[in-house]
Amino acid sequence: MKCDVCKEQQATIEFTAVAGDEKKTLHLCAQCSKQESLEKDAQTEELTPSEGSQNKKLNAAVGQLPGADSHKGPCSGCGMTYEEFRKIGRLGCSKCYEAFEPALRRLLKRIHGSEKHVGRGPRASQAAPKAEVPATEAAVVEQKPQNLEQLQQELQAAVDAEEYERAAGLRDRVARLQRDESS
Amino acid sequence: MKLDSLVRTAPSWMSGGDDADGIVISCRARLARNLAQFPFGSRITESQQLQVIDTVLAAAKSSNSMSTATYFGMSVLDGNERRVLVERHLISPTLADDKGERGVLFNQDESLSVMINEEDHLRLQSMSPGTRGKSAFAAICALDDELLNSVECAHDSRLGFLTACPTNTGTGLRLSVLIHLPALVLTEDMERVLRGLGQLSFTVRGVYGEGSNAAGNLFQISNQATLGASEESILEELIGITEKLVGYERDAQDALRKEARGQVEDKVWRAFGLLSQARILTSQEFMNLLSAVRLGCTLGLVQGVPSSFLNHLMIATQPSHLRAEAGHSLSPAERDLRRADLVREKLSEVDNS
Repeated sequence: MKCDVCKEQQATIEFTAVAGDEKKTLHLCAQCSKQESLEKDAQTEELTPSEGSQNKKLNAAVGQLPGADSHKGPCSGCGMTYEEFRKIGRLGCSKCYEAFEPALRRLLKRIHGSEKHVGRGPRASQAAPKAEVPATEAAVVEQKPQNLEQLQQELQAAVDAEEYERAAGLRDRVARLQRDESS
Repeated sequence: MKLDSLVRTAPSWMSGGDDADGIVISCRARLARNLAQFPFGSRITESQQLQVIDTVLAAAKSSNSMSTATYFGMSVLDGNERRVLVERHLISPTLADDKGERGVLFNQDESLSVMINEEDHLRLQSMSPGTRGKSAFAAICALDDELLNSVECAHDSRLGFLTACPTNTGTGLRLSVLIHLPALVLTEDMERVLRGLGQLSFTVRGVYGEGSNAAGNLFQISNQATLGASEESILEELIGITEKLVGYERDAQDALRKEARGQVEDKVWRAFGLLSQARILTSQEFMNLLSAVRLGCTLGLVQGVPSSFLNHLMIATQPSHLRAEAGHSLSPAERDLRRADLVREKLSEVDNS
C-alpha cells in the first residue's frame, strides 16, 4: 500500500486520528508519519496545558465542520500544496504564506514564539507609494487584522460554549476576511 | 579575479581585528531576501533564475559597497572550486551542490557576499573579525539598503520579510559568533553552558566538527528566532551572550592556570611542537592541536602568533584548499601529508621567540 500523504513511498505505519465521533485512519510511510507526529506535537507544544486542551477542542470542533480544511488547497501563486510544503519544508512563493494560513501561523508561532514581525521594513523608496493611499482607506486596512482577531476570539468562545452553529458562521467570516486580505 | 589567487591568501577581512584574547574569532550576519515577483527556490524556473541574477547584479553595480565585487556563476566552477568557496564561508554547501542558475558575488576583502538563487533569491552575508559584531551588522544593513533600494522584496506588514523556509521569516537575520572555548571544554563546564544557551533560544553548534561534536573547541552561537524580535535586539542579545561566554571562558582559564599550570603549559607546547614537526596531520588532529596553540596565545604563553594567522591556517588546511594548491586530486593520506607540510612551512614563517 502506498503512503496516503506522499503517495510515493510504501506505507509502513497506520496512523489513527480521532476527532469527536469520527475516526480517521491514514497509512503513512516512515517519513510522513514522522512529520505527522511532529506537527501534532507542534500544535500542543506551543501552548500551555490549559490552552493546549482548548486548542485541541477547537481543532476537533472546527475539523468536523464542512470546509475546515479549505486552507489546505494549493497555493494560487505557485500551486504548492500544504502536504508538499510539509514534505520539503520550503514554501514555493510568497503567496504560500496566505494559502497555508492558519496552519503556517501556528508553525511560525512554534518556531519563533511570535507571529508578528518587529524590525526592518522594505526600502524607503517602496514604502513611498503606500503613503499615497488615502487616510480613510489606510485606516480600513489597519483595522482588518483587528477585526480578524476579534472574530477569531469570538469563534474560540463559541466553540468553548459548544455553540457550533454560531461557530460555523464565524468560521466562514474569518475565512472570507482572510481571503480578502490575501487578494 | 581568478579563483586560484584566492587559495593562497587569507580572506583579508580576517586580519586586523584581533581582540585582546583571541577568544571570539569572528562574527557573521546574514539576511535572507526574495524578489517579490518570482517564486522561491523550489518553484523557480531557470529563466526566472537568470532574471534574478541580472536584477541583483544590476543593483550591485550601482551600489557603493559591491560595485567592484566579483561574481562567480556556479556553472563556470568545477566541484573543487565550489568547495573552496564553501571553505572560505562565501557560499553554503547547498549553493555549491544545487541545480540551476546560481552564483555568488563578493567584494575584495571577502567581508561581504551575496549568494544568488540559494533557497532564497538573495542571501546577504557580512563577516567581521573578532568581537566586531556591530560592524558586521552595520555592514549588512548598509548592503541591504543599497542593494534592495532598486528591487521590490517579498514582504508582508505582519510577517516581515517572506522567506522560503519559515525558520527565516521576519527579519531573515541570522547573526552568529564563532567562539573558541577550550577551557570550558577542558573543565567539563561546556555541557552546563550549552544547556543554559538553549533556553535563551540561541543555538550552538560545532563549526568544523561532525554534528554537535565540535572540532577544535570552536562553537558557533546563533539566534534561532527571526520573527518577533528586532534586528537590534537580536544583536544586543547575542553580544550579551558572547560577553558572558567570554567571561566564563576567562574564569575557566584562570582556574586552569592556578590549578594545573604545568599541565596546561605542557599541553600547549606539545601541540606547538607537533604542529611544527609532524609529517602527517589529519584534519581532526590538526584542529585539536590548533586549539591548544590558540589557548597558549590567549594565555600569553605563545607570543607572536596572531589569531588571524591561526584562522587563516584553519582555512588553508581544508581539503579543497589543499587540493587546489596541489593542482590535482589528493587521496586522504596524501592530503594529511600536504596538510602537515603546509602547517610546518607557515609556522616556520612566524616569529614566536
